Amino acid sequence: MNILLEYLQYPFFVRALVVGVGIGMLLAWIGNYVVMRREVLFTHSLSNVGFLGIAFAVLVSVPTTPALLVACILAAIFISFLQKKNLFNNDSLLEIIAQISMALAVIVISFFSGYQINIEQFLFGDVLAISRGDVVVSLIMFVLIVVVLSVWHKRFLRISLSDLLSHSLVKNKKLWNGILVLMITVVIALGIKIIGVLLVASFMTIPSNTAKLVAKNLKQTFIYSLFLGGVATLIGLFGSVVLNVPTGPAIIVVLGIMWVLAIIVRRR
Amino acid sequence: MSRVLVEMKDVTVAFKKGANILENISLEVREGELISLIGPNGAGKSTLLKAMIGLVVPNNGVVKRFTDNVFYVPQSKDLDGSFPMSVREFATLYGQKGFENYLKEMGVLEKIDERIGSLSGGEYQRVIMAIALSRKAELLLLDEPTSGIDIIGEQTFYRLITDIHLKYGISMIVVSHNIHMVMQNTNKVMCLAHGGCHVGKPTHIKSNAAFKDVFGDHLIPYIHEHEHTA
Repeated sequence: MNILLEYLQYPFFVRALVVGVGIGMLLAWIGNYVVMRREVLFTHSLSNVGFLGIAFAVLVSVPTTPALLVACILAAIFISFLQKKNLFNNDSLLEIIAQISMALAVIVISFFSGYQINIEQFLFGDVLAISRGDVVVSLIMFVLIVVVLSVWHKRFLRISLSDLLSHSLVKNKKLWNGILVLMITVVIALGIKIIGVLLVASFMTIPSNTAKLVAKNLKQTFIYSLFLGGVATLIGLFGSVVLNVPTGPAIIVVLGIMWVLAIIVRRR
Repeated sequence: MSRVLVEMKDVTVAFKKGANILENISLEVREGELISLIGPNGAGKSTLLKAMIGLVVPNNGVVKRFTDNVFYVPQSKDLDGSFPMSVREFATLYGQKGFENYLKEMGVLEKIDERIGSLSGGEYQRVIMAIALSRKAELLLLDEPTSGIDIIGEQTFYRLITDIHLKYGISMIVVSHNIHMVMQNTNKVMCLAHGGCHVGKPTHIKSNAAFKDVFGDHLIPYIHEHEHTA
């Protein structure tokens, strides 16, 4: 307990707490749309492209956040283009892009000295090393995205749940779909920078799939997933400090434990 | 003459070069029509419906929609049924006030508090139809609504859509493989075969060469009998 109180006095830890919980909740919320759209692999694919983007940015010494955003947005456009061509099954296409991006990223990172340490940092982010600038950017993006999601939640829900029905009901469906994909992309890019590739994919998938096991309706699913995203980050952060283990994997393990508990509770 | 809702002119759809699913299709759907869409597997029936609603973009030709109030009722559920969403929540999200009355009319009101994911394909289609009715839909596109249903269930379903058609005057296109059933219940037939589309009344379609080519002559006596009793 004393260790935790001591850590709370460090500004870097409080920053990690605030931004980590915020981004965890945001990813968990957006994850519900992603799971509904059955596009978890899209998240996985985009995360790996982001990984490549950030590695390349470090290699050529350009700011990582814009590089990440550009890489993710370009990848989303490229994936969408190939999906329309109907040349491959969707899951195969997304997995191919994920694998190639990961391989390229590792090769790029291998050009750095001491690259093994860097890989871990990219995969799990560095939530404890968040700067004040990161906090400001994250907060602005967080507020913007939360406002858009809150105002047009019903519309995004319609688009995500049934493609066919939304085709009849949502005017300018292509535009709204594009806005949702753009937001998912931006949140993924933001998440990769702060909490890393693996945590982004975990937050997009596990809270939603845990919440729907115990929730009674759709509204509860969204609320529970938000709660799970926030609580898992808190427990993972504090747990990593107390047990002296890496923060990112600690948060994923907490999410995993919650998921298993939900399966058990659901069976009863 | 009633209002045209959808007009297709020389529409060609091909997912691969040189393999046209639909070829130079021209047709129109008017207000108040109850149309059967028939054709062998792979003839492009679902593609034709999807082209009408804009889900498939033609490679050539023009599709003009004079109403946006068109609903496509798919063969199977197109949503992730693992989410805890009741039929009530689902209908509230997509339908309009008073959807309960239409759920009752479609015979699925007792399912209102059940999970949408637990419904059978047929029940889901009825929920979609109730949503469409609550939104005063002008055209319903029913993609094989009776696939997997036994003969009695099929008869009941066709009686239901005929009643709905008569009561609300809503236009419908029904895709089915049961030629006898659609001939008996609808007043216009679209027969898709070899990329082309032949449109007419059941009595006209029966003499069409493409129709005979696809379905053989075994229907002709049935249609004659039906004409005499009509």
